[in-house]
Amino acid sequence: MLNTLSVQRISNHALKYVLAAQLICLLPLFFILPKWLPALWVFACVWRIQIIRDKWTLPHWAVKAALAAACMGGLYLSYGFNASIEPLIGFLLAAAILKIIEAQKNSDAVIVLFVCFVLVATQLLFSQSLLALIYSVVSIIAVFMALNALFKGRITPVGEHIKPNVIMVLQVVPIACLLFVVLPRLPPLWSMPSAKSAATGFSDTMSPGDISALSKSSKVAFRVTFYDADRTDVLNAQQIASALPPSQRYWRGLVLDEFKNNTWSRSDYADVLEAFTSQEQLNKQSKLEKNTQAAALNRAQPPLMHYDVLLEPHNQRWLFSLYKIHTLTSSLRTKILPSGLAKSFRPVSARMQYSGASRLQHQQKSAQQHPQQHPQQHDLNPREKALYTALPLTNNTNNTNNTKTQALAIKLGGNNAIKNSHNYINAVLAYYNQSFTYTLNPPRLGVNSIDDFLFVSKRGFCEHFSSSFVYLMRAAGLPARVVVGYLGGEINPVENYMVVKQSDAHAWAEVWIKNEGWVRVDPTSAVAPQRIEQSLSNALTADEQHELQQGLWQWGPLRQFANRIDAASYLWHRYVVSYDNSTQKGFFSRFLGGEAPWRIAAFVCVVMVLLIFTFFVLPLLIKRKNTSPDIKLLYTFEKKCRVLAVTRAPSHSPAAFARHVAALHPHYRQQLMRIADVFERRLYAPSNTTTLAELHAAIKAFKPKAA
Amino acid sequence: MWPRAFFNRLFERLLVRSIPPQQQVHLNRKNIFVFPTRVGFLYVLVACVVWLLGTNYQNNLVLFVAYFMFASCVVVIHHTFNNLTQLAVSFTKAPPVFAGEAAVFSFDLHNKKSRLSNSVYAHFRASDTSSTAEVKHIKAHSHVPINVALAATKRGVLVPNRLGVLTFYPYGLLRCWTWLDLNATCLVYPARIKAPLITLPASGDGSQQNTVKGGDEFDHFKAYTAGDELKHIAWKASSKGKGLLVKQYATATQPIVALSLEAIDAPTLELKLSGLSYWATYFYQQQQPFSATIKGKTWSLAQSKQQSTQHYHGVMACLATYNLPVNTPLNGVTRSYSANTDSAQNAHLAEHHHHA
Repeated sequence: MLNTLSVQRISNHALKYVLAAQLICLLPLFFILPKWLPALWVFACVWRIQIIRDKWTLPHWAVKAALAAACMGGLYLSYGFNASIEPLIGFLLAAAILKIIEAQKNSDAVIVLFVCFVLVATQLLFSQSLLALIYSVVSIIAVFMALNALFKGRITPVGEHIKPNVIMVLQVVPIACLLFVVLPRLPPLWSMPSAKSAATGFSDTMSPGDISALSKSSKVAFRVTFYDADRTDVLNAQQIASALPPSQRYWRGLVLDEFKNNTWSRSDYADVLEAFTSQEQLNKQSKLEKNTQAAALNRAQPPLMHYDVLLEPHNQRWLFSLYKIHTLTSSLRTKILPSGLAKSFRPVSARMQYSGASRLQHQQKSAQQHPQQHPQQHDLNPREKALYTALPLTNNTNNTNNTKTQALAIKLGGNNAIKNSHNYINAVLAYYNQSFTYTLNPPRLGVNSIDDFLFVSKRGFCEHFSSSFVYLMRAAGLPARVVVGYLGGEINPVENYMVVKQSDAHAWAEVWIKNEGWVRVDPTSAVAPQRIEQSLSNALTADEQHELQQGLWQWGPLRQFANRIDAASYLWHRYVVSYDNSTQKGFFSRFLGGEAPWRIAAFVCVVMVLLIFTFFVLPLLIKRKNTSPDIKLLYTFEKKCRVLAVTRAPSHSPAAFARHVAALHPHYRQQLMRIADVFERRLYAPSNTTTLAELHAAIKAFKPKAA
Repeated sequence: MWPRAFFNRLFERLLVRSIPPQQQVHLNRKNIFVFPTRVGFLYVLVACVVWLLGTNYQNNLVLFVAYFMFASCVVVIHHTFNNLTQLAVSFTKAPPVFAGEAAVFSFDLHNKKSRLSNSVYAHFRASDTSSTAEVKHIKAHSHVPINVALAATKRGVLVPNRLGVLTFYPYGLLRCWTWLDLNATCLVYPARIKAPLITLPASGDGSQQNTVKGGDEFDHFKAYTAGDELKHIAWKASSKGKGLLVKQYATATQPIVALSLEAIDAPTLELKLSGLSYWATYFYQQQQPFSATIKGKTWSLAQSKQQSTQHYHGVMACLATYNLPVNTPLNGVTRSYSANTDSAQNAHLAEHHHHA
């Protein structure tokens, strides 16, 4: 039977809905995919409409083949052989568009519409905002309307056609939400091509100018929520500020340990070390550390800071953490590296949430005041030592060995550096403090970039300071490395979370000091302490502040508004987009008091009963309310008569009933006859002869008293 | 294919028990079936694809779309069911047809709910689906007729299979249907196949009528029955001891044709019946009176137009059921003409009622 329906020709009426639904579903994708696809859609629609008008004919198979080949060629030209998801979506989209031309039967239209469902879903791969979801629900309504038009015999005006579909969708949404909350999430079943989008934030190398370029972007890098020690309550703005003052907000991203061609990068050895260090070993190590720490120090440890990071996709694998990360959990595969950094197994191509805990170090300006914060039983092995003290080999032709810098290292006490590390570090920092300037627009540097910076320009951004600092350390034989990440974070007072922006990007140094381990030293602090204690814009001159793209948003009310919007988006991402098995567990234990299956089953039952009540019982109650005002007045009249112990028989018309009561109770005869008269006129006389108010008054005048 | 036949029979038996034959059936959850269509299965497949997409990309919003699609299946069941429920279906009529034509069964769909029913289809079970009838919509509290055609191949009483009333509304994802036995029957007259009428001496269309019409004289004797004109009694012939005979004249205006099985020159009974069907219909359409003797029962002339119609259908009904075993229940649904059919049928009818 359905066969006959599906081979039926699509009615023009239904086709309109199909085309509209397709357009609505494709619209967001048109912005992402090559610009010739919208043109193709218009072309297909024109052809289809011309076929309906009998102007053009259906395409010959050769034309169809040529069109398909042209689309494939177009996709190839736009993307090449690229294993990302865009060409796949482009292919699906082109196929759906071409199907429009030859869609003759209802079954073709059904296929077009079902592809629309998939396209609605793919659109959400690119944007996961609340708006995107609302838009996709709207598109689904459009698709349902088109599907409905295909299976509805009669033609109704659009308004009438929308209503049942919207009602349907409104009925489905709560059930879908219930499934969303209750159903467990599975890990990815197989890996899929990821969306091709440019990596943002850092790259895995650092050369002069990289970070200052990043600093001009006001985009959000990640957002952080802080918890108290047992991870139950979210810390508020004041608590965060006291536990983590601005000068402590160092978010480590990655460690660069190799200096070549004026660029800091990751050495191969670090990669190897990373690959061969399993999570178990690290856990063991950290446990060992903890035990020995407790035993050896026997003093109050800095508390663990618990936090959740919601990371914006940056298409890189590194994650950001405070100091040396202690524990790390996420629904995606992640691990802790030997350098105390967090890393994801796959590039972060969608917003990602992970929970971490870090132990804070209270050493900032001068390392010697707080020794022994990072006690490590093991010393660096010779291989590591060689790696972290390595400087580029002398190149005679170019003389790129920064010889002046090496001489400076000796001058500042580099010979004694290993024995008296803190003195040497302080000497270097003091050297910076003398004549260096912190600027967003440093001059270009030559081949010997370190020499050029230290002795010629003396103007630089954090990457210049950290780079030259680490060089100076290494020149004196102290193992040192560059760390890049973010310094800072602004607390959103609306929802008590911290926003770290790209403009907070920073680079600093870590120096290996015997018996202390890796100690953080930020040479920028010696030049521009405001950068560390406040924010970047405070450390810059007025001219340079303009480059930071934040002008208007600093204005009070607008800033508050921006805070609110950001908070809404944060909540959405935190509770909906990042809802995973662990948050689900949290939800169950918080609202259902546990995760036992029976609790979940009971929850589902209760929600379903509520839904059934709203869908079936409420309409009945509302219907009662929707009765005409005359009938309502009749009810009041009946109620009044109940005082006289008279009830209306179903056979009595309102007027007949009034007369009946009048016959039984002649005392109220006058009022009752009036009521009967008005009722009758309301029912039978032309509508302008009586008003509702008249009836109302007549019934109000009737005040029976029980005998 | 025995399992299919087996299950079909099993299902038929189940149907008889769950939806017994009735004059009018109110559709409700006791007699409505719901099952996904192929489109519906495809929809679930698409939902699974979306779910896979969401799971593999760990994208909660895509998962939400998948859950939305799954949840919509549940809600659509309700809507599709609502479209069909609270309809009252009854059989109204099926005018008799000739074998080889399509019998048209009229049913009445009465929407008893306060909501509209959209796109309701009807067809007989195990019949060609191309004969499916469609009703675009049935307004709240109103009646809509639906005519379902069925090929009538043989003469007799055509009892269709159960009537399937179904709907795919709103999205074609689900099929909501029922199989009803509404005691619908249609009388199928023998096909009209022209065969020579023996009593007429000449052959050929034109001369036939001439001979019939040309006789202004005495034609033959007939035994007297009450009501015959006294003038026509052949007193002379009667006096010879043959009982009262009446002179029959073939008048010029209304020559009387006597139809009987013997009067048709055809090799088989079926062809004879078809021949009779042809001639009876021919004379009826020409408004020419005729008499017929079938199975010892005689239909004489009809006086009025109305009577002639009754007369004609009586003859045809008799031809239709001639020598057929009456094994189909005729609950008196076949209206006007059932009065004229065999008493055997009536006896059966009584018996059936008794059983019921």
